[in-house]
Order: sequence, then structure tokens, then C-alpha cells
Amino acid sequence: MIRPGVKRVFRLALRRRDVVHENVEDEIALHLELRAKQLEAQGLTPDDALREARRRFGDTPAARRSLRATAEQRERRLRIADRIEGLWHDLRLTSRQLAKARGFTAIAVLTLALGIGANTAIFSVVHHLLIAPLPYPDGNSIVQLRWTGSGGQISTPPDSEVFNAWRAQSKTLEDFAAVGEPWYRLGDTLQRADSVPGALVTPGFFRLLRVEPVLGRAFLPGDTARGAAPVAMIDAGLWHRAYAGRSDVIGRTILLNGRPHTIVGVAPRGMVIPMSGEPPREVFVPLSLDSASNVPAFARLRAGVQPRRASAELLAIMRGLPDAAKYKRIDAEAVRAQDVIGVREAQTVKVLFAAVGALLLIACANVANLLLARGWMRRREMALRTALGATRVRLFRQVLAESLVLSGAACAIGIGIAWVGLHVMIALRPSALDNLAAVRLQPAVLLWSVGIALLSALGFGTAPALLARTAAPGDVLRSGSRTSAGGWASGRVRGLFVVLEVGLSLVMLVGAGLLVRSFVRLERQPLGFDAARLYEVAPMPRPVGGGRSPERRGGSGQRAATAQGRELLARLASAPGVTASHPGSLPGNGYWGFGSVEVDGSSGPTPTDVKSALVTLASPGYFHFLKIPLLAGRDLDSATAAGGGAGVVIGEGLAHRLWGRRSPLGLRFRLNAKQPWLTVVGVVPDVHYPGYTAEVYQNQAYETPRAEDGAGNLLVRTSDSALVASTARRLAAAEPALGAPYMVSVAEAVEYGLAPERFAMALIGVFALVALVLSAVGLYGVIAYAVTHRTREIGIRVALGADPAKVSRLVLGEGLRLTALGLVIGLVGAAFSTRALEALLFGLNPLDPVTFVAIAALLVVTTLLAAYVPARRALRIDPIDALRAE
Amino acid sequence: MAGRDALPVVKGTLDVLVLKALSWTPMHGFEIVTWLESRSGGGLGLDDSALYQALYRMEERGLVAADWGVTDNNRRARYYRVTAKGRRYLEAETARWTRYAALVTDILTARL
Repeated sequence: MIRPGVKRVFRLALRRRDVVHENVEDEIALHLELRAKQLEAQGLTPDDALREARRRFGDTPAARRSLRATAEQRERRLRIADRIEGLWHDLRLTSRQLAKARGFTAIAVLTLALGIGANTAIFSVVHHLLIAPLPYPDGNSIVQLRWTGSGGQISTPPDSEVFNAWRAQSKTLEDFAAVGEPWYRLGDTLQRADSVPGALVTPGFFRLLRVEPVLGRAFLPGDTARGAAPVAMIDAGLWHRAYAGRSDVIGRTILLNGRPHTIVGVAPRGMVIPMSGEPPREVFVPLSLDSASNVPAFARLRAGVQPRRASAELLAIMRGLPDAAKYKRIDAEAVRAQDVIGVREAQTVKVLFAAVGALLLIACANVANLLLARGWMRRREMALRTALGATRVRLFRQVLAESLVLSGAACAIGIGIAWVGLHVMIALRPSALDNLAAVRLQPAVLLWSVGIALLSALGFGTAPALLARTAAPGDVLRSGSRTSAGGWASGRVRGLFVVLEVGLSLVMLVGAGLLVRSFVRLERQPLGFDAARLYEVAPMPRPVGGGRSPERRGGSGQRAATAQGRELLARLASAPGVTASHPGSLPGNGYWGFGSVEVDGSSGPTPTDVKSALVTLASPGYFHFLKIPLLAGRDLDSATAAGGGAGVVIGEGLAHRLWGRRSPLGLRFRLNAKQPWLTVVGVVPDVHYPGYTAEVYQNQAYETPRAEDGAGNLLVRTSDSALVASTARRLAAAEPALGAPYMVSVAEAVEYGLAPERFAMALIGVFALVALVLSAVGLYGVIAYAVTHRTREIGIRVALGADPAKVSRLVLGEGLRLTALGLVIGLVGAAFSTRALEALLFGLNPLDPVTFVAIAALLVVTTLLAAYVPARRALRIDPIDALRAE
Repeated sequence: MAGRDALPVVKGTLDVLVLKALSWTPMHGFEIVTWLESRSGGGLGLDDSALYQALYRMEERGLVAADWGVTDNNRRARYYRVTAKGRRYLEAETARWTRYAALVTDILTARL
């Protein structure tokens, strides 16, 4: 019997109910027997004694049933408690063992943590860009409605006629709203005459987002009626900032761009317009549905409707309009937020995702190798424990616990790495991916990282451990020596992991190499014009607010804005800081038409393969100013006659695509059937913006502004852009019809175009470097391990007079063999996978031989280095030590 | 023995009494019963099976633990012992009982 102080180690598992019942019966039987004996000693007859014992026990079938039930319940509970205790025991044991093997633990945990961290950070981005819905209730059903042209390359909001037809007829969509995003100058209680981000919204806007005002009311259709008093809403941020959150703000007057508006409601903070990428809006002004022309339009998908079906319906409604001919060349679509992201950006994210996936695989292969090696070294311990009666399940549980402890620690550190990595990524984000700023580590993302940590632990932790202990315990114990050569099977598995690592690293390094080479090419490509200190300034008409009718928008206000804009530009041309100026826009900053470009052929208008062309507003002397040489023909005319026959200068590329080798001078084309004819008077070389790869940017034309183009823009050269910008703002503030002017530099435009490449390149470069280091560590580990286990063999060889050079070749050869195999596999893999990079490569073949050869060479050198240290160590082994070590 | 001189067990005190019995040494069920009967000078005022119910429940709660052992007469018997948790429970309950008893005694013996 177990007396005090004896601790029970394992509980016998009472699996079967009848065993539990039997035990209860035994206990009762003993009790009755002992009681009867006691009563007999007091003088009762055996029969009476037994009867009395039964009576005192309360021995009825019901009592026995009740005892059995209680015992069963007890066993169930205790079994669960035992399991938890067993797991706790395993975890403690494992933690102690891992703490002893400090180097192994550190490398395994850090390697896994890197893989997990990188994965989590990138998955956060992927989740945000491609999966996460908009931050509104049921945000995934909000779609943007837009016109598309040229096979989806360009898109614009619909005009009010089409928008209202969709609103009236659609059966797949509801809650239509349109939103413009002007900025407003504030007056009233705010001291700073600052601008705040505002929104011009149709009355259904808040219903679309399923957002309720925190105070007051949302807009009503009556707010946009002709003659209605101008009203506005503000967001909670502005409410607290400017009105101290007081509830009497409702009914007060706020000055927006100098016009009084009555505040009717307060919207919640953080009102971002879906898919705009602009900051949250702080003031809202109602927009009438009739004037919602070419303003971004939205609606909600009705329950169960897919965007594709809604798009088809929108197109059908548009085609069925009385004047459908007007919209003949336009397509329509309803897109979700995650579909709006650019193709190149989506490609970038996917490539990054693939890269971190490869990185995690490499990390897992490393850890698997480490565990295999460890498993092999512990095979005696395992064999001994098996011989002592530990079950396979028990040993497996311990290996499992080890994997769990490792991956748990790696997961914790990995999340830290992810947090840091995410913030670095946000800091480096390109403007095209500006909404990355809102990315946070989210529960879904954390779940993902925990999931991959567990999977990697299970897959790469337990499998090698099982492999390592397939040997019969007797054999292992008999073979005795700790350093006898490793088992052939486990050696082959470890070799396989190294091959896999080298292969994956090669794929990743080749991808990174291609991106770097492509980027260098992009940056070195000349723009084709003199961009030094060049800025474009454009006067902007003041945003219109408050339910104005279209007639008034297009009327005297615009004429005034044009006149005042011209005045502004004229003054700015001679403002301090401006070294030179010329009317016109930056090359490529122009307009384009929908539908394919037509040429004036012998039999009338003929459509061409050119889907769209980009027309930049210029002026005589423009090319001279930008140092663009005229290749043929002459400069632009100083004024273009209204209504057609305009003389334009076109780029070489467009000339070639429209007319081949023929001289384009004097020939006519138009952007589409609705646009006036343009007569080519001159040809210039194409300008190139790195990163702007859409077809429309390759077809360039320049024309003099027409009367309806307004004030036009001004190109300015200055070395003090801040001074020029502030002068422009000051000049605009003095003109009542103007808003804040717009100023952009060539550098900004170039940066915008290059940013996605720069971003992808930087990240993939980092991943590739990490992959290289991990592969090197993996190779080193395997080779060093192999050398350690051949200490005896090497010692004997050296003792018998083997040439040291031969021995080192033996060791190096092993590493190189594995690398060579990995290289072959990696090269094949890279050849297939770099195709995914094609959209991100500029003028570079995805199979670029220079990159492939260079990266392969890099990996060979890395292997040699990784093998060199163990090889040297092998040679330094003293034969006597090697033999005595047994 | 549920006889005239039986000590009626106040609800909930059986657990404490059993723990007290086991606090000397591990015992099997019948040993516990005879220990309690010898201390109370008679029966417990309840069926012996109630003791086993109490033991099983306390085992489930972790207040006692049980293992199969062998009696002096070479019979297989289930021996119960107090766990650390059971010991803490016994101390707390004893203190509570003492306070309660003192309070009731004070009230009943107070001079009017």
C-alpha cells in the first residue's frame, strides 16, 4: 500500500466502465466482510452479522447504483485532470531540457520567429489590402460604380444622367450615393483660416455607410432643393476641437469657404470615403443627385448579389437609355474595395506573400534539420526510455511538447518582429499604397501566425523525431558509441532539407535580383525632357457647395475662376523665386478619351488598335522650354481654332502606332468618335516616366488649350519651391473664385510611379538576404554536424596518413553535392516562378541569364564558406583524441 | 449504528470528519468508519454507504487521493489519503467550526 510521502507518478487509466464498477463492488464487499467480522466478534452468528452489516451499510440496489455513478463521474474528472497535469509535466520537462541546450534553442526559435514574423507582417498587409472589408457595417457589400474604357485601363465616375438611371432602375443595388472630396476653408469659431477635408455628399450617403449621426440628423432630400438654406454636418473630431463637444452646436452657423452653413448634425469620427485613400472627412455638405455628375458613385449590393451580376445590370441599364449612343464605347462596373487596388500593387503584394511563404519554408527546413540532429543525438536517451517501458505515445508526446514550446516561443518573438516589421513597412510605404498607414496587427492575422507556428512545429518537429527513433532500442543501446556515423535514413532526410533550402533560397534570390536589376534600369532611363527644378502650378476653382444647380456651376462662376486663374498665373510667372516659366502642363499630365483612337482614312473615320492617347496641354515654345527636340514638322500654334482642325504635336510612339512608317505630318486623328479631329503638325520623341507602364502613357500628344479648357497651367522652374507655393497660395486667397492652387514636381510624379517597385524591391531584398543567411546557417549546421559525427573516421584517416587536402575535399564535397542538387532544383523552380514577376519587371526578361548565373554563383560561394569552417575543424582533430573519445 | 445514542451528523460535517480521520494516516473505508465510531462512542447516524459517497466526491474535488493497497490480511483495499488541498480545506473548516461553536456556546450560556 502507498503510505504518506509516496508520490504517485502515473495514474492507471481506468478506461472501461466495468472496471470502475468492479472496483466499487470490491470496496463494498471488503467493507461488508470486515463489518461482519467485527459483529461476529461481538457474538452475533455469521448470518445475523452479515445481515446487520448490510443494514448498516444501507445496502440497496439504489445505493449501489448511486455509488457506481459517483465513481464513474470521479474517474472522468480525474482523467481530464491527469491529462492536463501530464501535459504540464511534459512542458516543464521540455522547457528544462531546452534551457540546457541553449544554442540549439536560440537558433531554432530565432529562425522560426523570423519566418513567422515576416509572414505575419506581410499577411497583415495582404489582409488589409485584399481581404479586409471597409470599416463600415457589412462594408463588403459597398461597391463603387464607375465607367471604364480601354479594356479597364482607365475609369471615371459616371455622369448624373447614367447615375440617376442606375439609381432608378437597378434591382441588384440599393442605397445609391455620390461623394466628392473637396477641402473647405473654415471661418466662424476657428481662429486658423485653415482648410479641412470635406465631402460633398448626396443625401443617401450616411444610409449607404450605415452610419448614424452622433448628434442631430443626417441630410434629407429637402436639403438639396433649390432655394433651401445651406446646411452642413461636421465630424465628431471637429465638433470637439472647434465647439468643445457642446450639444448646442446644432443650429449654429459655420463658414465654409466664406459661405454660412447651418450645422444640422455631427457625424462620427473617422469617416473615410470608400476606396478613396484620402484622409477622413471632417465637414459634409449636401449635394443634389442632379448635380452628382462625374462624382465618385457608390451603392450597396443587395443580399446575395455578386459584383459581376451588378456590373452586368449597370451596363444593360446604360445600353437601354434613350441616348445610349452617347455611351456606346463606355463600359460600366461595380467594384468592391479590394478590386479597386491597382493590378501592379496587387501583384506586388502577391509576390511579397509568396516570398515570405518561401522564407517560412526555409526557416522550417532549418528547424527540422536542427530537430533531426537533436533527435539523433538523443536516440540513446529515447532507446533507454523505451527499454524502461515508456510507450511510443509517451515519447511522441514529449517530442510534441518540445515542438510546442519551441514554436510557442517563436510565435511570441515572431509577433514582436511582425509588429516592428509592419511599422517599418508603413514608414516605407509608397504613396500608391498610402492606405497601408491604417494596417494594424489584427486578431485574424495573429490567428494566422499562431496557426502557421503550430503547423510548422507539428510538421517539421515531430516527423524528424519519429524518423530518428525508428531504430530498435536494443540496436541503439548495443551500438554504444555516441559518435558513430549517423543513420543513413536520417542523413538522407537532412540532406533533403538542405537541398530544399538551397532551392528555395535560389528562387528568392533570383526574384530579388531581377527586381533590383529592373529597378536600376528604370531609374537610369532618361525622362526625355529637362526636369531640373520643374514644377507645375494649376489654379483650382473654389469647390462648390450646398445644392447648387448645374447651370450656376457652369456659368458665371467658372468664367470668373478662369479669368482670376489667368491673372494668378500671370503674376506668378514674375514672382520672386521663379527662374523661368512657361504655360503648359508637365508632359503626360493631361487628359484622355474613352474608346479607341480613330484616324481619318481614305474612306472616312477608321478605328485603330490604339485604345487611348494622352493629350497634354502645351503652348508654342513648350518643347524648347523643356529641351524636347522637334523630330519633324513645326511647333504648336499659339491658339487652336474652336471646333476642330487643331494642330497637335505627337510623340514618336503614337505616330508609329497610328501610321507606321508614314510621315504623320498633315494627317488627322481623334481620341474617339465624339472628339474633334486633330491635325498632326509636328513629331517629338516620347517622354518616359519610370513606372508609368499603362498603354495610355505610351501614346503622347500635345495641343494648345482651347477656350473651354479654362485658365490652363504654368510650368515653373524654381530652386525655392516653398516660396513659390506660398506665393501661389497668397495670390489664390486674394481671388474670390479660386481655391487652394495645386503644385506638383516632376520628382513627385516620378516618385509616385516608382514607389511600388521601390517598396517591393526593398522588402524582397530584405527577405532574400534573410533567406541567404538562413540557408547558409542550415548548410553550415548540416555539414558541421556531419563532420562531428565522422570525427572517428576522420581521425583514423589522418592517423593512417591521409592527405589533409583530401580530407577537406571530402568534407567540402559533401556540402557542394547538396548545393549542386539544390541549385538544379532551384533554377528550374526560379524559371517557372519568375514569370509571376513579369508585371513588375521593366524591360527585363524574367529568365535574365545574368541574374540567374550571378545568383547561382553567390550560392556556391556561400556554400563553400559554410563548409570551410567545419572542414578546417575536421583537419585539426587530433587522431588520438578522436579515437579515445569513444 | 443509527441507534438511540447515535451522533446525528450535521449536514456537511461528514467531509470534515473524514478528513480529520485521514489526517493521521491513510485508511481504507472500513478503517475510517471504525475510527469515527470509536471517537463518537457510537454510530454516525447515517448509512455506511454515505461515507463512500463522501469519499468519491472528495476524491473528485481533489481533497483526498486513493490508491489500491493491501491490508494486513492480504486483502486488496482502496486506501485514501488527504491531499495538500484537503489539508488546507480541513484547517479552514476546523477554524470556521470552532468560531461558530464558540459563538453559539456564548449565546446559549449567556446570563440573562
